[in-house]
Amino acid sequence: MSNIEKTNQSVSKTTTIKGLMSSETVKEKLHDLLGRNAAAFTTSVIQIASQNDMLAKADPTSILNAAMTATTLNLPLNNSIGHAYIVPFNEKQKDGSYKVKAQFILGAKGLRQLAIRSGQFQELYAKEVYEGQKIDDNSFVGYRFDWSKKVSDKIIGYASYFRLNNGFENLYYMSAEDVEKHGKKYSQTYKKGFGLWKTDFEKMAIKTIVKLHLNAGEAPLSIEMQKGISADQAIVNDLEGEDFSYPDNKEATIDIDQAARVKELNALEMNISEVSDIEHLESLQSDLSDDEEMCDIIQVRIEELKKNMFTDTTATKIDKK
Amino acid sequence: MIDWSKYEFRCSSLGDIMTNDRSGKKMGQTCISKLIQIWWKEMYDVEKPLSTKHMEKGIICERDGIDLLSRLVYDGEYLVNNKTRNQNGFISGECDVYRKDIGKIHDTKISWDVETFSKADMSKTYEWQGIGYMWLWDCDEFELNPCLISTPEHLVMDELRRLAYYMDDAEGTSDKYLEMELQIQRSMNFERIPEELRLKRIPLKRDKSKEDDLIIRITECRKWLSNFDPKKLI
Repeated sequence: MSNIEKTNQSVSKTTTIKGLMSSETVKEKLHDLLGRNAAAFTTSVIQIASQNDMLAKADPTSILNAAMTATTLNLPLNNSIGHAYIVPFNEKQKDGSYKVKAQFILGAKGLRQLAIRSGQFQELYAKEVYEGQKIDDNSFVGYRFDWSKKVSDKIIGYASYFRLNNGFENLYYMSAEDVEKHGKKYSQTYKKGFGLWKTDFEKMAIKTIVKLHLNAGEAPLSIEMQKGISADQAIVNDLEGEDFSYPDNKEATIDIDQAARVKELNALEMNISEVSDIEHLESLQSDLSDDEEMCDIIQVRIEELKKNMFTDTTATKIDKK
Repeated sequence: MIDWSKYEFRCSSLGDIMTNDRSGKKMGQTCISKLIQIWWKEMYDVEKPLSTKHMEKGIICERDGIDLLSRLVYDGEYLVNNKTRNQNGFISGECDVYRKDIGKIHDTKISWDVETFSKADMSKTYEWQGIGYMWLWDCDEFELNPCLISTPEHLVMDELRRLAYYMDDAEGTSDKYLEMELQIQRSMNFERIPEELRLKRIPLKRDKSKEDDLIIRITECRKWLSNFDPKKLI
């Protein structure tokens, strides 16, 4: 087990972000990773969590991991700068219940910042395309635009463009309908009619087009850009920022029967963990003979008890000798 | 073709089919409506969708209800959730818990909120369901156990989303929204209430004459179903 895994495991039981940040294991780990910046980092993480009621309720480890991702990418977590954000997200658990976790969001400006820092981009920008501005609609040889031909305020699409230092240039276009479909496909909140896609559609559309463009295969991606794109909209599962899960892409529906079943199995497991009478367990097993999974759970407990009995008997014999 | 003369009624439908008209002798309107529903269901698998959030809570929290019963009545002993559907040629049913050792059946009902829990009583539907279960398992005691169990988090979130929508506050940041959110959270979480106040125990003793009444009514209903012509409804 790596140190990082140990750190995550040992802190997973801490309930508040303050408690987590003051634990010795975390302090030590942060000192290793950030040196003398560790104290400033701790203060900013506590501040971020306290600014939002729902984030304050989020799993503290997920807040710490998301903040660490922003720090390793050297992106400030300041909403007014817009480089990166940490937002609370209700993640569905296996039993159908929900747990609030912190999600790392890379802002459009943050993405641009990472591209600039790579030193390979001469130009990178994205903008709305209004009705009349698109004069050639050919995705195979490339779209052409005339920005002076705007006929109305109706946005028909979004375009992203970059030119590299070596002169290579590339353009990417998506119709407004396709951007909207993308939002509905990947954002659980937009599907339900709220969230950033609903309130800040333009910003989300611009960010989406830049992200898709850079990730389409033509742009050279620095390590930081790759990491930023992978971490975007993810729940970061480790301090090193290498293990991500994407709650937005998960199926939103809950399997009710599965949730009830998980509860049932957990209840049985918890109950029999306190039973030490093998006969009672065997009778329970016979009552549940139609349910193979439950019988297996009971069998594990029976064998555990038998093993303990054997160990106790052996120990007694050794004592007597 | 369905042989209606052998149709077995579910215990949950007995309360409906046992209703009488004003004379107190013939099948009542509720009974006939139920029979029409059964006819469509059995002939073409068409049925009215059930209310989802209440049903969802009932299914997900069933085990929590049984565990509460176990802690309060059986000293924490593990209660097996019965999965067998019994039938006797007239009715069929699947009770929640059957204690063979003491000859008793328990049926837990997960209440949606404090109001439904407070009102939960041995209604005619539950009474006939209990009569049916005692007949099927051949035992003398039935206990209805309405339970107050905290609503699963995802259902609370659904309520909050609905609230945000109605209050036209998509981000849920206004003071009014936050105040309502707190109210909803508190009204759907019951952990702070002592467990003994969260389970009702409503007993029912077996009365075999009721089983005879069921046989008479079931025979009538089977005859009605065999003669039913849906064209008369059009």
